[in-house]
Amino acid sequence: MDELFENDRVRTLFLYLACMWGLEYDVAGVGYLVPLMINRATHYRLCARGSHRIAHLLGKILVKNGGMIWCGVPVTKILVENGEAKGVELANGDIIEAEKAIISSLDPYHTFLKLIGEEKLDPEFVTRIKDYKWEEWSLFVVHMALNEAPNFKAASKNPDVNKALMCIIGYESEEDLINHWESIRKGELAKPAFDVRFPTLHDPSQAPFGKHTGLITEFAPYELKEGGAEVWYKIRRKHAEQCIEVLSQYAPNVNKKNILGIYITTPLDIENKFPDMVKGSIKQGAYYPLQMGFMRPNEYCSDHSTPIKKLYICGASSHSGGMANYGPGYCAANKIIEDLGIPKNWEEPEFIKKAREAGLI
Amino acid sequence: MADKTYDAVIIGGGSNGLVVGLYLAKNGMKVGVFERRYEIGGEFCSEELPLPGFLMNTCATFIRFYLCPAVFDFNLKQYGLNLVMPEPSQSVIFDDGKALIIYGVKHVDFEKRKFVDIPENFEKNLKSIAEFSEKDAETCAKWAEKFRRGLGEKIEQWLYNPPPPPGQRWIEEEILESGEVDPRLAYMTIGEVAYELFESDAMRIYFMRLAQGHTGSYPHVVQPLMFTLHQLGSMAGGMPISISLGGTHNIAHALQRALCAMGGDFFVNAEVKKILVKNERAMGIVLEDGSEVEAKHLVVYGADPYQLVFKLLDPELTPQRLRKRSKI
Repeated sequence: MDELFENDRVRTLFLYLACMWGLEYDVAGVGYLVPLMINRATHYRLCARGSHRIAHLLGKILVKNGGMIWCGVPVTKILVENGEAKGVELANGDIIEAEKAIISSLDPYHTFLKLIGEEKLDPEFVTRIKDYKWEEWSLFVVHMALNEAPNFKAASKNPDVNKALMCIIGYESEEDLINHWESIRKGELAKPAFDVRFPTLHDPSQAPFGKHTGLITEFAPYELKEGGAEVWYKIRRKHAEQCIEVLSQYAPNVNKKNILGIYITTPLDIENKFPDMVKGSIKQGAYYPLQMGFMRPNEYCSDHSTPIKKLYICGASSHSGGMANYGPGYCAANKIIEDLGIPKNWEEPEFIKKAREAGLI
Repeated sequence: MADKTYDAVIIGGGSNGLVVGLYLAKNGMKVGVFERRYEIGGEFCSEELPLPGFLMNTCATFIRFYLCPAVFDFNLKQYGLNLVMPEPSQSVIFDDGKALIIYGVKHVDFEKRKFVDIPENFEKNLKSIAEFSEKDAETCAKWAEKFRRGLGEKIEQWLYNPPPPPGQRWIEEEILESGEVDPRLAYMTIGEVAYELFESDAMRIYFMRLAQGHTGSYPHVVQPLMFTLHQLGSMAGGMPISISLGGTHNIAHALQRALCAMGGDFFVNAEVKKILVKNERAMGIVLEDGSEVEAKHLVVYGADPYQLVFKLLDPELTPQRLRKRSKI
């Protein structure tokens, strides 16, 4: 950012955008991701009728093609015999056999240590799994039900501010942003600073007629200095109120009268909802140079196959990471179909072909 | 030209709409279910409120869905239906520390499609009731015996068969003719039934509370006899109450999987604007987004009468009496 931009506030914006999906501002060796992050930041999209709609569409296609989705009963074991994955055991004792492959979208810790067990794995491989690191920070989110749309003070000069998909609030300089990260590393809560979005400005179907939704997303530590992660249960509401207080300084009509209800998710809640997001790690593991590309999650599994025959991984802890780009799923599907020796019945997209021709991949 | 065509179009993706869809799909019809909400299942919903990871069943919570023949006809267990039935089913707790506790007296064998008696639970129930009144325990034993002798089956028949027009002899009349049931029960308020049959406050309270939970009626209301009998049957000799493993919404998932496995389709965020009618026959539907769905054979509607008559149909198409009766 120092290389590219001279203005402090412009640097703050781009540093935020580059890091908001989990990069740490001072980690060396991941600068190559910055153009990708900025490209994403300038192409934000909202899924009409809510993000879960995408899950419905994917689910329907799966079922139409003869697949089946089971839920409500967790997998407790991956059954391995002679180094080969044979099936899974569910919490209710049912055993599901897998003829061709078992594909885990969980993090390496859950897939290998919890579901298979150290004793069935090579000690060197176990060490590499234990080396895998989670992100240093997670997200604190306040969802708001609003009676009316926000009106930012800044909109008097720039009316489009009220229509932006995302607004960043609370950082007056790059130093503020850096201090925020440093306080997270110490397990402290800094003065709230965050981005805020109002989906219903762009998709009114996400609230009753004329009403609005908003969400505040703030970087936050998983472990708090005083009392660890469990303290989130106690301070969640107070901290949410502090965030709303800061927001109302910028958009005065987002106040107690306008807010009809809130729903809070803390870093601990993220892990409770998705146990594979260990310590609230939103990308199933940090983006460090030693956990990227061929090393994600480690050199044994980065092509999605694993040291266990017929067992594959396809989660954000494999290449190409998190952020709902579906890269890991796509790459894993290709690898599995190749291993099974089945002809692919889909075309490689043009941009991937071009990258291949240019020698980039 | 319609945007989509189905043999049967179902409006509303609640549990009843889905059950209809299953039977139609099994009989070879191409079924499409259209739902206004972001998910199907209707009252079978579960959400992570008030904290992520903490599942709340925000509508249907305790269920006896296993009584429905569809559970077995479509082997919903195979599609993920999993019900937990704690043996202590319900309890009324009093402020002096005493408690009436009722156990389910049948076990549901999903494999064999059978309800198997648990006699020791029945004995436990009578013992618990006897702590409040020996006579009430005897009354409950008597009713349980009536249920074992066939009254229970008759109630299940009543639940899963269409009612004939008035004047035609049906299950209720059969029961009254059998002499098993005092015909006055059909005309008594819930409170009167409670006082007629039970002498202890505990059992009177339990009966009146069951009625409130079951039909939403207060003690001064006369409810249909079949409901009264259903409640009396559930007192000492009742079927267990169940909850759905993984949340109530899992039942919706099981129904949906069974439907999709038979080629049925479902659409969420798909609010229906109009039912298309030509020559007094339903031809299809128009969605809020303007798209049209043709129904080759039939349209099934699963929501309330008001919306059907005043929103989805042209009111002129329905008889005046129906319009009057459908007004809120």
